[in-house]
Amino acid sequence: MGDRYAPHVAEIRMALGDRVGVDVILEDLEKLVKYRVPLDEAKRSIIKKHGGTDSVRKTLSELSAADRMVEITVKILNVSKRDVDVRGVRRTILSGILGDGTGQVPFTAWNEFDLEKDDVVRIRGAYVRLWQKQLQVNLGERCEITKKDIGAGLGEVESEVMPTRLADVRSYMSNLCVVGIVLEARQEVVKTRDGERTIIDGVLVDDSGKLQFTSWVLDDKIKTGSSLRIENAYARPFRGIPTINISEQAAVILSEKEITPIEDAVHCSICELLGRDGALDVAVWGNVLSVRPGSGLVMRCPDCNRVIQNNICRAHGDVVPVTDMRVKSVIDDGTGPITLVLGAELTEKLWGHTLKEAEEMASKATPDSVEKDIRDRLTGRMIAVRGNMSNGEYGASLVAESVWFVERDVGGEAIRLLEERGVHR
Amino acid sequence: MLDRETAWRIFACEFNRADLMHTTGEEQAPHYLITPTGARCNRIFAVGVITESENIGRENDLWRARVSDPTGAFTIYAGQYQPEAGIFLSKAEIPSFIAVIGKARTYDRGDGQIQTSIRPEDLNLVDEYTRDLWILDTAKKTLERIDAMRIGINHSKDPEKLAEYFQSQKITRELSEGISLAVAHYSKPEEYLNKFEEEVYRAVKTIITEDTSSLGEESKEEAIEPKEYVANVMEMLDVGNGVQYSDLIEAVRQAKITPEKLESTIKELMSEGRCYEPTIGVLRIV
Repeated sequence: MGDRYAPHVAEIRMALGDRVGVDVILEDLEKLVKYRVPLDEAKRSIIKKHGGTDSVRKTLSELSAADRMVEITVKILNVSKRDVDVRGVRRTILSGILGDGTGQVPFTAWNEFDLEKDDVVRIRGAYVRLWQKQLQVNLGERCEITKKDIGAGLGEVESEVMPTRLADVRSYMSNLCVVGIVLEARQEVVKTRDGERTIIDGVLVDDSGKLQFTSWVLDDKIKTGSSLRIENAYARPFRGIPTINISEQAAVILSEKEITPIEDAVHCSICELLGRDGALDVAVWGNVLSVRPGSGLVMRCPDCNRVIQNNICRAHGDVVPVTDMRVKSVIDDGTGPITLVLGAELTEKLWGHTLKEAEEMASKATPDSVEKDIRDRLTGRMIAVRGNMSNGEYGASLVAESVWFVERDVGGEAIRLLEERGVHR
Repeated sequence: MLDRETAWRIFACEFNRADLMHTTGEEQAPHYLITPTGARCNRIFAVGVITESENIGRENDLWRARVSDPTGAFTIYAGQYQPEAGIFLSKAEIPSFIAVIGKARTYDRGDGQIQTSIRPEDLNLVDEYTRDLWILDTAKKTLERIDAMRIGINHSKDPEKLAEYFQSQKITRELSEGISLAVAHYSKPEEYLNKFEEEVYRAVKTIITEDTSSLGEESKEEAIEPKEYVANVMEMLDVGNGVQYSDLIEAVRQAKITPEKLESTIKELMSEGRCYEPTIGVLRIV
C-alpha cells in the first residue's frame, strides 16, 4: 500500500518541508483515499491541514496566464530595483528574470524582498499575469520565499539570461536581454527635463533583424562593429517601432558569441509582421490589391503639410497650395494585408511618371485621371517594398525606403517546386 | 482599427468544388467560404484569362464573365452595385490577362447544387508575367494547405494535439479553423486532395517554357539518399511524442518513397539503433 503512495507522499513532503513525518502523511492520505476522495483533492487538503500554502507546484514552462498561488523553485538570473508610484505611493519594487532549466520568465516583486542575482529560492504563493502580451511572475505580500542551496531541487540551470531575438522584441518589454552587433552608432545631444544630455543613437543587428537603440550612458563599448550583450535594457516605441533603451541600470558586455548578422533587409511574410509591434528595415513582397481614393495628385498646405481641398487649410485658412503626389494602397501576399503609402519620389518610380507629367495629365483631363492611371498601372501587380513597419491605432502600415516591381525567374521556381515535391515533368 | 480580410490564392478547380459557407453568427460577422483544402476565405485574389463577358441583366445591368486559370474557370458577377467592374467587363478584350480582387459568394441553385462566384471589388488588365507569378504562388499556397489538410484528416480525433501541432508549424489560426471545418464537411477527402495535387502540378507545368526546362537537369544529380531522408523527416515531424507511421507514409511520398520502401528503410534504421517504436504505430528517432 505504502509504495503506491510514495510519490504522492514525497510531493506532499516537498510542499510541507520536514515539519510533518511520513507516517502522518501516509495515514492521512490512506484515510482520505478510503473515503474515495480524489487524489489531487486529498493532497491539497493534507497540505492545507498541516499549514502549508496550497500552492500548486509548477515549472516555469508550465506556467499559464491565469495561474494563482503557484510554487516555483528558481534561480534569480537578474534582478534590479526600481522606484515606482503605486496609486500615489512611492514604492521600491524589484524586477528581473527567473530561470529553472525549463524556461525563463520575467518577474516583478511588489515588496522589497531580499533577492540577489544567482540566489536559488523556492517561492510559494506567486501569481502569473500577462503584461504586454508576455507572461510575468508576480510576487506579492502573501508570497513566501525560502532561500535554498545552489542546485537544490533544480536540474541544470543556465546562469545567463537567454537573449531575446531582435525580431521578438515588443514595445514595452523590460528586463530585456539582447545580443547583437552595433551596425551604426553616433553621439547626439538631446534636451531633457534635467538639461542637455549626450546619448548614443544607433542600430543593432542580429540574425533575426535590426532595431534602433538609444543609450543614455556613454559607454566606449557601444561603437560601430562591436558585438554586445546588453542585459536589463527596456524597449519603448519610437515612431511605432520598438527601440532598445540602455540606461544606467543596464549592463553592456562585449559578447564572444558568434553572431551572424542578417544582410540587407529580412524578407518577411505580412502575417509575420502583423504579429509584431513594429519592425526596422524589412522587405515584403505582395500584390497591390487596392489603390485607395486620395491617391494621385494632392494639394498640401505650405505651412503644415496637411492635405487640403479648395485651397483651404483646416488650421491655416486660405493658402497657396503645394502640389504633391502619392499612392495609398493595400498590398497582400496571401498571408495578410498591410497598408502602404508612397511619397512623390517612390510613386514616380512605380508609376513611371513625374509630378510634372501628373500635373499636365490632370490639366488635360480631370484631376482624378492621375489616380485612375496609377490604379490601372498597379492593381494586381506584385511589388517588393523595403522599409519600416509600424503597427498602431490605424492598423499595420509600411513606410517604404524603396519599392520596385518583383523580378522572379518563374520557370526556374516552377522546376524547383516540382523537384521538391518529387514530381516528374 | 478595421481588420481587412486576407486575399486567398485558390485555383478555380478548388474554388468551384467548395460548397460550405461559414459564419460565426454574430451580427455583421463576415461570411467565409470554406474550401476543400481548408482555406477560410472571404476575399480572394485571382489572375487569369477572361474568356467570356456578357450582360445578362434585364432591368439593371448584370455582367457575367468567366476568368480561366489552368485548372478551370472562375465565374464573376458584377451587378448594379459594382458599376466600375461592370464598365470594365463591358469593355474587356477577349482574351486578355486580368486580375480579380473580390468576395467569394455562393448561390444555391435549388437542386442542392451550390455554385460559387466572385463579386469583384477591383478588376485590372495585367501582363502574362503577373499571371505566371500568380500560378506559382497559388500552387505553393495550395500545396501547403493540402499538406496541412492531410495531417488534419489523420488527427481529426485528437483536436487538441492537432492545434498544438499546427501552432508549432506556424499554420495560422485562420487556416487551422478552416481545416477543422473542411474535415467535418467534405467527404472522401483523401481522394479529392490527391486530385487537387495533380491539378496543381499540371498548372505549374504550364509556366515552364522550353528554354527554362533544361535548367533543371543538373540539379537532378543530387539523388536523395532514402535512409537519411527518412531519418530527417522523422526528426522533423516529431513534436515531442514521436511520429505516427501514417504521417510518415504521407510525408515521404513526395520524395517518391513507397510504403514498402519506407518499411525496409525503417527496419534498417532500427537495426542500426537509430530509431525505435515506443508504442505500436509510433516511431522516434534516438
